[in-house]
Amino acid sequence: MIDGCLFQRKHQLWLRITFLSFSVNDPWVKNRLYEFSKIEFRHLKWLAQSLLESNVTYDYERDPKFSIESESFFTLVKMTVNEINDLHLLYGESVLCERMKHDENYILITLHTYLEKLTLDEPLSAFNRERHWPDALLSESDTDSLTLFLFEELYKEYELIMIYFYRQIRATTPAQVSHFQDLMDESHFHLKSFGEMMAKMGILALPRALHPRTYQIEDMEKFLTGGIVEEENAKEECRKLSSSIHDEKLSSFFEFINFQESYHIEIMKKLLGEL
Amino acid sequence: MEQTLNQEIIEHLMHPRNYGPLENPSGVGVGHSEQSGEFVIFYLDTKNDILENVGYATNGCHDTVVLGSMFTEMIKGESLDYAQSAADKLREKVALGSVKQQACAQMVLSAFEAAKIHQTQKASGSTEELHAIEIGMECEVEQ
Repeated sequence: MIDGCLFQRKHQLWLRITFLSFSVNDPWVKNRLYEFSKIEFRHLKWLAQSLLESNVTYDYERDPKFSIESESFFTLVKMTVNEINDLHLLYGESVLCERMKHDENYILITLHTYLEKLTLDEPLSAFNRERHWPDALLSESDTDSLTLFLFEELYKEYELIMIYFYRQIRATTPAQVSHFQDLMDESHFHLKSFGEMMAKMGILALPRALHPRTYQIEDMEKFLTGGIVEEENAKEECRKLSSSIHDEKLSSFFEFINFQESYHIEIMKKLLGEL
Repeated sequence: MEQTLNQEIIEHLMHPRNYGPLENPSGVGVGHSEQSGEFVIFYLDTKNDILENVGYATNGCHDTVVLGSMFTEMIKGESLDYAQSAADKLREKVALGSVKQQACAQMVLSAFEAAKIHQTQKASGSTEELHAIEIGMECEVEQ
C-alpha cells in the first residue's frame, strides 16, 4: 500500500544506502552503492508524486532507532538487506511498486555478492571519531574548523535537497521543475563530497531529521531571498576555510565549492523570476 | 565552543540528545527569528511538575544543536523549578561567550519558555497548537 509509512521507510532506505556508500572503503563498491542510492531517490520522488496526487500526507520523520553506524561493513549490508525485505512486504500491486521491487531485487543480489566477498568485511573507520584527516597534516584548529564546517554543511545540503524535493513535486511550470532539479543535483554532489570527507575523518553521522516547519515553505519568495543570503554565507565559510586551512588540496576543494555556490545564487534568482 | 571541540561536543553533534517531537506533549513552544527564518521548537511532557520527557528540533547552526542537546539532557526527569534554574544558569554562562552563542542560547531558551507558557495555556483550556516567541537576535552573526 502506498502511504506515509511507506514513504518514511523509503526515505530511510535512501539514507541508509547513501551513507553506506560514504562509509565503505572499496571505491568500486562505493560507486555502485551511490548509484543505487540515486535510484532510491528517484523512487522516493515518484512515491511522493503518487502520494500528492492521491492527497495522502507524508513527512520526513524517521524511526528514532534508525542508525547507520557499525564498525562492520557486513553488518550494515545485512541491515540493508533486512530493510529491503521488510519494505517489500509493504508494497502493494501497482506499476510503481513493481518497478521499485524489481530494482531492489537487483540491489539485493548485488548486496549478497558483497557478503560472499570476505575481503570486503574490513573494519570501517567512518564512525571511529578520531577526527584525523588522512591526506594532510592539519593543526588542531584547522581540524576543528573543518569538523564544524562539515557538520553544518552536511545538514544544510540534506535540508536543501529535501526542501527542493518538496517544492519540485509541487512546481507549477516546467522551468521551476528544471531549476529545482539543478539545485538538487548540486546539493547531492555537495552532500556526497562532505559525507565522504566526514567518513574519512571518522565522524560520519546522519543529518538531523527535518521538522515540517523546515520544508513546508508557504512563502517561496521569502525562502529564496533568504536562501540567497545563506548561499552567500556558505560562500564566505568556504572562502574562510580555504584561506585558513594550510593544505593546498583542501583549499582548492573549498574554492571549487565556493565557486559553485555562486551559480546556485543565479539559479535561485531565476526561480524568483518564475514565481 | 569553536575553541574547545572535545569528544563530548562531537557526540552531541553526531547524536543530538532528545532530538525530535514528542507524542502528546503537554506544551510546545517555538523560539523563532523572523529575519533569518531560524527556529527551535521545544516539546515538554510534564506530569506533577516533573519533566518526564523533553524534545527539541531546530534548523539552526551547530551551536544551537549542541546547546539544545545539552540543555534537554540537563533538565529531562527534573522538576520545572530545576529546569528554570538550569535555564537561568545557561543564560548567565553564555553571556560570557560570543554574540553568536548568546543568540543560539536565546533561541533554545525562548523555545523552552514558550513551551512552558503553552503548557499553562493548555491547562487553562487553550486549543492553540503551540506558543511562539519572536527573538531579536540571529545566530548567523559574525563573531
